[in-house]
Amino acid sequence: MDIRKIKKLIELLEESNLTEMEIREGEESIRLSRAGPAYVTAQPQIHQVTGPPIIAVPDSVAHAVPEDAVPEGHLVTSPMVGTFFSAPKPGARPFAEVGSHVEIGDTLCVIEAMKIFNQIEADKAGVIISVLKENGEPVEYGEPLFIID
Amino acid sequence: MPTPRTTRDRLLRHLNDRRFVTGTELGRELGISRAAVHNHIDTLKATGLPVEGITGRGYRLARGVKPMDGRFIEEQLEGECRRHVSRIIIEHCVDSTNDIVSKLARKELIHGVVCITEAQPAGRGRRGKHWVATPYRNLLMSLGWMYESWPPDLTGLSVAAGIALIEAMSLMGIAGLGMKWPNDIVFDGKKLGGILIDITGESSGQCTIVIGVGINVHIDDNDDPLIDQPWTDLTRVLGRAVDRNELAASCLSGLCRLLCEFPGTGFEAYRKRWAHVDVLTGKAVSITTHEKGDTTVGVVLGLDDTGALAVDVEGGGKQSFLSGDVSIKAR
Repeated sequence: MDIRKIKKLIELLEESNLTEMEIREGEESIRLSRAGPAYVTAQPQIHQVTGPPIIAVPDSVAHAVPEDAVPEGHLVTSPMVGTFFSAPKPGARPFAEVGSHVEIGDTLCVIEAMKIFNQIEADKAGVIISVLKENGEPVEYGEPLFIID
Repeated sequence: MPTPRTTRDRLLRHLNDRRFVTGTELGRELGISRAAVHNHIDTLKATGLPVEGITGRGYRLARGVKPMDGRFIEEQLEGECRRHVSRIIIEHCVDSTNDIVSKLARKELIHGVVCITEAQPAGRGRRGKHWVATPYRNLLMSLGWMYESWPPDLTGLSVAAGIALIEAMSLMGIAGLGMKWPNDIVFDGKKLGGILIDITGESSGQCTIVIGVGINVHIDDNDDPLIDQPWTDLTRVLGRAVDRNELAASCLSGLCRLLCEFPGTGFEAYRKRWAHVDVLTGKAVSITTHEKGDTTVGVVLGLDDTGALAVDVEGGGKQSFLSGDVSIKAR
């Protein structure tokens, strides 16, 4: 495959919301994927990154998870890389659970990185139909955290 | 606009640690009755104000106690900072100045709003840990700031804030302070202060930041058993008393400078300055990540572009950490 063609494909990927693309042309095929930096936050078992990406594009360019991977509803995504906390302190009741009714401005969770605590607020009133992260789990920029119906 | 003084603030301004002031004298100064003076003193005492009251002589503060004074701080701010600081709220006893400013943010624009408390009965450290500070002797302060849109590299802000504070104190002649990633100010391996940042806002819109700063200025020996880690204070570091109002003004000026510059310079400018304050690089450390309490051992390599801690992990190669408690291992 022509190097200019590959360059074009990289640009396409960069402009899109996709995290991965695969192109076949006769015998040849090329797979491009992007991944954010492999940060270690609360869970050391997350260290391994799935294979070295062919091309790593900074994560800030696009959402880390394709839109079609999650169910319908209003998505609340993470504005920064960090650790997901579902409750104000260990052992306390979660800010929001499946079935909770939330108003605009209600705190849903806290994302922490380097002692910066980011209170994620509901930007839509409704019922939480899905909590996509576990307490203490690392999250990437743009990753979906909650679905509000 | 100068910050208005409440009766309680004015009462504190008339008290001092050198001579007794009578209730009658205080009442006359403030235009209130002697009984009202007595009530105000009682309320302040309950918040931890060390004040001595002797019948017939009046009231006197314990040696070295000088209350915070919002208007004095305003006057001491650097020009650039004075343009940003809109209001200084002096509280006497609140659990978290960050919470006070964050709650205000729901009703008003908190850009440049400062809240300082004299006492913090249940100070918030990270994830529910306690912060102990002798009332009326330390600096517990928060500054609100707003950006129209999210600046890049925001995760590096706590490290950058630590550097800005250390540089501000160095301008006051306080030398030798270091920083333990990501938010502790240390001297000789002992904790002197810390930073805690709260952010709210949608990633696509306005960004509201509250930077909380706690600096040990003078901790009573009696409070030592309540503190769960090696600590020190500025009085011990310098061997002399430090004026908390001057310290507050200097720290606020440093933070304002940082917050004005940060969207333009990003974290990179601070990453270079990190080298002057860094106490971790080359050290063997153990890093405990919160909630699950897992511990990782390794040697610190430095900071990566975002401010995350790069560590050569024992048997695991280079890894970047975005959070965790770092302790230096004795060799």
